[in-house]
Amino acid sequence: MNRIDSTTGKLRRGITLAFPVCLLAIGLTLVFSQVQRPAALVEVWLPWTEIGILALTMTAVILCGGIDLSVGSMVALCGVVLGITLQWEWPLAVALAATAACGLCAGAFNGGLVAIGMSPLVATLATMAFYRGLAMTLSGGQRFAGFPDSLRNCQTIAGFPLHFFCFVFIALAIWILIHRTRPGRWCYAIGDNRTAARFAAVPDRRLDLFLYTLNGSAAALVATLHAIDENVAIPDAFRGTELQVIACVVVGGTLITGGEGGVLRTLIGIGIVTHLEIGLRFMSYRFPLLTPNSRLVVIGLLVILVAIWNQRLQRGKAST
Amino acid sequence: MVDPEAPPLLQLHRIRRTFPGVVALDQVSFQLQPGEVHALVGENGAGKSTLINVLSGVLQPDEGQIELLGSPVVLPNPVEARRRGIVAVHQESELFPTLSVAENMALESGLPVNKFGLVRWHQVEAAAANAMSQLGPSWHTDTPAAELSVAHRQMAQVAAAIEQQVRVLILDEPTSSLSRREAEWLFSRVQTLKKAGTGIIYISHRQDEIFHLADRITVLRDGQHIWTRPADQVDSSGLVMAMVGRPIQIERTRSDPERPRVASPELPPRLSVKGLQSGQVDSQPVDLQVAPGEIVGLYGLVGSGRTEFAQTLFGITPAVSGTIAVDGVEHTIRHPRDALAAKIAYVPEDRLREGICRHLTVRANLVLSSLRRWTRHGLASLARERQTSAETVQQLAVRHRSIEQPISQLSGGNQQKIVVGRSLLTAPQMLVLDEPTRGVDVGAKNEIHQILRNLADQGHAILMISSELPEVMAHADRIVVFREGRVSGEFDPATASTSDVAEAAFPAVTNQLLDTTAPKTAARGKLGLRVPVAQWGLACVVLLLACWLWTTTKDFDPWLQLTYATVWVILGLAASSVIIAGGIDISIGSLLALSAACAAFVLRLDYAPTLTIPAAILLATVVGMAGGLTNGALSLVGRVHPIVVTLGTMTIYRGLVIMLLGGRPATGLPPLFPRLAIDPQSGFRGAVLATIVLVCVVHIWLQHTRSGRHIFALGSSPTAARLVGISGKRTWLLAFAAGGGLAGLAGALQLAISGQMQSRLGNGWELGAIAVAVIGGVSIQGGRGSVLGVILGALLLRLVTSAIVRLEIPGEQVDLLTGAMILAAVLCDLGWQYLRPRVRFAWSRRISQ
Amino acid sequence: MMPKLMGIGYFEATREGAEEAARELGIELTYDGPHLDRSEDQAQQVSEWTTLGFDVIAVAPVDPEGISEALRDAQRAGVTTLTWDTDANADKSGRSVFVNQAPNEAIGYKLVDVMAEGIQAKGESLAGNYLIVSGSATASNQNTWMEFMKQRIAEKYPEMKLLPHLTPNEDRQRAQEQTAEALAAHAELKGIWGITSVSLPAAAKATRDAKRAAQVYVTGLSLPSEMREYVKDGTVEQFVLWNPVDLGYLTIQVAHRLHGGNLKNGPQTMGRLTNVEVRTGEVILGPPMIFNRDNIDDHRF
Repeated sequence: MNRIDSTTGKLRRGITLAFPVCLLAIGLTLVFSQVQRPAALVEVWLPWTEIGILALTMTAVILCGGIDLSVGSMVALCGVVLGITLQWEWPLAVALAATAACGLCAGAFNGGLVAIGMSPLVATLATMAFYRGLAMTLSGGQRFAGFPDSLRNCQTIAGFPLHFFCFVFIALAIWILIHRTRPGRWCYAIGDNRTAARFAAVPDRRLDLFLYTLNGSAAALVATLHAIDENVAIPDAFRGTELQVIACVVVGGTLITGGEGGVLRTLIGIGIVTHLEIGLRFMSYRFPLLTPNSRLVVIGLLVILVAIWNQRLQRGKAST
Repeated sequence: MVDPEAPPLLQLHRIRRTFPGVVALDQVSFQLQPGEVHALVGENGAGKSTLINVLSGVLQPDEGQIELLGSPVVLPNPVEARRRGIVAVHQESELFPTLSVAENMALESGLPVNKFGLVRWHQVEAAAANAMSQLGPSWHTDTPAAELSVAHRQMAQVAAAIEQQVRVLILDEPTSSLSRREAEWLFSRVQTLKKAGTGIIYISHRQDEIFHLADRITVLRDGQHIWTRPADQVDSSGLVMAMVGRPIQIERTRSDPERPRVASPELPPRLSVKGLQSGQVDSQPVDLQVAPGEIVGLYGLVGSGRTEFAQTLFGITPAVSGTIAVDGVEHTIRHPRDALAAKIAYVPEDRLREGICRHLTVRANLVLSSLRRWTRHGLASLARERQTSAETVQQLAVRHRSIEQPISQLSGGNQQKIVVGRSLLTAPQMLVLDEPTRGVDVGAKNEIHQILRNLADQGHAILMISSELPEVMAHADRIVVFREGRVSGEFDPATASTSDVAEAAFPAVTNQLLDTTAPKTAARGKLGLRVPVAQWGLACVVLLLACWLWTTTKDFDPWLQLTYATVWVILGLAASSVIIAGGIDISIGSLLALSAACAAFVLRLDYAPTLTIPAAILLATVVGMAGGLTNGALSLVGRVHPIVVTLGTMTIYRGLVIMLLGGRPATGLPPLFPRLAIDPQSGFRGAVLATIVLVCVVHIWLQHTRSGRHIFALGSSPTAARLVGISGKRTWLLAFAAGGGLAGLAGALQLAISGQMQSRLGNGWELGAIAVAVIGGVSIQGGRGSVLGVILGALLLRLVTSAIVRLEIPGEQVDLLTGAMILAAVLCDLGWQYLRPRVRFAWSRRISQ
Repeated sequence: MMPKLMGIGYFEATREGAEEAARELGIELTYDGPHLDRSEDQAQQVSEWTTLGFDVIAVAPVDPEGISEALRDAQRAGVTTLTWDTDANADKSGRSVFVNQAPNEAIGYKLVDVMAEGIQAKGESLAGNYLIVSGSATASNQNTWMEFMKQRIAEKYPEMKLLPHLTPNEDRQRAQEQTAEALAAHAELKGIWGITSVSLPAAAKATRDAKRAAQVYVTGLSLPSEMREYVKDGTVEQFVLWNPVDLGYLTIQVAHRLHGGNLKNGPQTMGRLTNVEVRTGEVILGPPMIFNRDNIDDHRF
């Protein structure tokens, strides 16, 4: 009896995953059918691992019923802090610590605003502008380039880019956090029914604070990785990144209202958004009918379709 | 006074209604004569609420027939019932919290409009003022409903219902939180209605009221009709006996009679509460002790303060004074975590809202409070969780298919067992259960009682809150009765009679007279509390900034400021109309560009400008509306949050803009078009003029038409909107279409102001628009906001930008200031929301002293 | 070939030229770029193009530092890289050559000279306040031009007083608003330079709307197609630009020669362009052009 039910449960989950997996397959096919220098793909993936890291921590925030629009600005701000501290010739370790602290504080500030009862959308909308302005003001609009070699030498470890290690590490860590620890369980409970979770003694406000802080630290990590890879920190960078990040999470099948989803789904979502975007761009060079502009339309349609598909399948059954 | 032989106004024939596992109404027949007050009495769970819900169209009967004025009617929804003149005032009210009391009252019956389709606010105000002038001095018809106390909300509903000239009025516990004076007002209204021939169904626990008002009394018990008698043939004790007085045949779940159960020097109490008082207005200090192995039944009516007491004990609403000790150790409990640490567990009353996470699995719900026990080194062990869950589920005899199925698939009783199981897994010494058997079928009820008895035998102390007398009589070792926020009696179920216990719980005639000698009065007079202070503050800031700029610069040009603020005003309104309805649209920036691109396309056609310009403006509006409608429709059809939909359409619309423009900027528009917005020769600022007109139109629409008010109502409370017959879908689409249309107009205006456009026009402006709305006091939760606020928000942003250029501050700091301003605006609003009821409360205290 | 930004007139004009050259030379040309001026998008697309097996990639960098690493990676993967319109960090990026529209020095000086001559031709003195409306604070070529402009002013026209420049972030609406603000704040403003194709028309529009065209001399860098209106009604007398169609054309010509390994130094003829100057690491289109009422209708871009 038990076994049958869990099998149908798996089947249902399988169906909800089928569509995203198909999209992922299409995206991968599109990309690989065009690639001539596969070795160079590594460089293509690197920026997407940065978005991926942000999407992974964002998954936790969204599962818990929140949203963070300020990630792009936080990355830029952390990059500026790294640039400034290195310009002041602080030791590398101290500069990195300052960057991490900046991410933590920025995230904690978001978390604090949400915990005192501000709507996450408004709070992070405000800090999005605020952190961006802070980054521009601190840097005076100037970019920072020419990071010390000690930092640049970390670019690869044992022949693999540092990005991949970080991405895999964060993916594992967030997977464990969400699926194997108490805060992870709390996320689902709060995302599903905040009142009930509070009655079950779940510390919802502390968790908010923690998750947004986590998101801020991820931003600091991404800023550092970006500086290592591109050797530059631009205060104006990562505008609009938050929407890409949210698209990754949603396309993977995590509900924007929280309570349902997971890390595996976000990983698939990152794969889809990455490869479809690149693949569609490649196709547009091959087939003039598919102008580079029309891929914006295609991607927008996909986000909506996948979201509707997921909502119909997941909630349609559960809410009877 | 009432002619029983006259044709009945309302007649119910053998109504039957079941819920899964429970027969709520079993073949109940009921009659109501015109001009009759018919009291409906029974215990909680006797079926009164179901009967009311069937009558008012909320629920449909499984069997049976409803006849109104002799002809059978079907009441598929509350709107239809209301249309036929059946109005119910429910005990738990549904109001629009952000709307004024007057508007709440008017929405119930549909807003009155004049021949131009504008709301007759005078009539609304007058009707409300008329209804409420009799309620006492504490009333402002323009107070937002959220700020009313429970009593006042109820009175507002009664007043609203009475205003409607109804045929059948159903009053469910209308006086449960009213003072005597307020109640007397109600009684006089009831008498007036009676004379007018209205039939009134009156539900109350207060016998004095029943005997005072009712012509006939019907008693329900366990979903069955017991009897209907004229009121003058019934006496108080007979009534109580009829309600609760069936022979209590349930076996008492008592084992081991030798065991001492009541606290004594040899057996120190497990829980000892002294002078505990919650922060609520009406709460009283409470003393209570529970011994190990004892089940204390906490009996009281709904609203008697028992749930508040339990929640204070559990740290949901922290206590303001008093002590809580478990096993002699005092604990400070400010959060449910503290309560769990003190070994107190709580099973909440409202299972769906407070108990379960519906979409999570049985296992996840079960282990939620005790996760620490199943984690090792911070990692959860699924195997241990599953094992424990399986054991607990078996122990509690939960009927289920799998512990990995969503809990929503279980029946109510089994869900309740899971919630009990959850609190048991925290290894409590003290277990507080609030209505543990509400909405649970008989079989599961008995099982739950057996579980509680077993727990008590294991040495747990149990506090069982119930409003069912037989339940506490049968299963408690001791009964504590709550009334009006404090303990009103203590009984031993073995020796006490049911009527004694009932008497302690039901407010009696004499008590009530004593209790309400000090009538509640609240502030009256122009406190200015109603006026949105945030908006005054904003207006002052805008004015100060404008004055400062005016005096410090030689050539300050207010027209210039206004011209450049116009697009933001309109775009801010576009964002607001969607946000007020409870949605959000982040595609308006792209939509603005799309509309502008379409307009530019028309303008560049080779026709006379007098033809193309109106056509272009019209097209821009239509395109915007279509885009907005698409957003609204997609989120409705797909049941997806609008932020996801508009995230997608934002990209789509931007793609369309680029395709439409072919990557080139749109230049070479007819020169007349930009001159309509700003004419350098004459200094004519058509943009400002057009915006003023548009703003007036939007203001009239939002403030003075039904459809505009329905947008506020939907955003304020979708549930209440459904109950008063507002079509949620239509209103939702309307809000999105209006938002889109406004964005389209903003696009046309922007095109005229710049005289050309590029494909990235409006990129990121959606956030600016939302910022304008939020700074202008539009609540992101919906239901609150004003056109004036949005204008002020846009002006503020404009002036700040201007000041930045004047002060020669680097342009980079614009973002910094914008962010800070949003934060300041929202923080002010939050602080004000927090302070306002407190200020009001303190003020009313001072007045009454 | 990658522009800074898709969908603006200047880069559409360069695309025209590039396609023309590609047709002449029989080259397969792909012209694509970011829709937002985000440096990281450009870097991303350069990496993507590397995988597609392009032989030559030509980029007009949004940010000279932001693109450098991506260009170097492409070069390591065997792609010939060059920059146009704006240079990347020459050492770090390893780009073969920078196709320059005109020497930065010449542009900066020319902008100042045009203003000075224009005002002097009206018989007025140069003394007064002047304003530069730039594109964005991070745009390096604009910053370089401004350096040279300041140098020229200091050397030749010390009576010109520069106000702090405006950075409207390449936003047309913002540029117009900020210029209008500045016009209102400084009644004695003498001249405005708009040094991007977005800023100049915006500045001209603001000046015209404020009815100050007679007092304030507006000039700068922009496209004839965007400026036609303002030149014709006299708001702007003359402005500076190179021929963007030729720039695109030249870029593809240079790319073709680079790939064939036959790019020699010295002045030479490339396709329909005569007198192109090739230096080490730099190709220069020629001196900037002046557009005024007489020649503005001769150009389609």
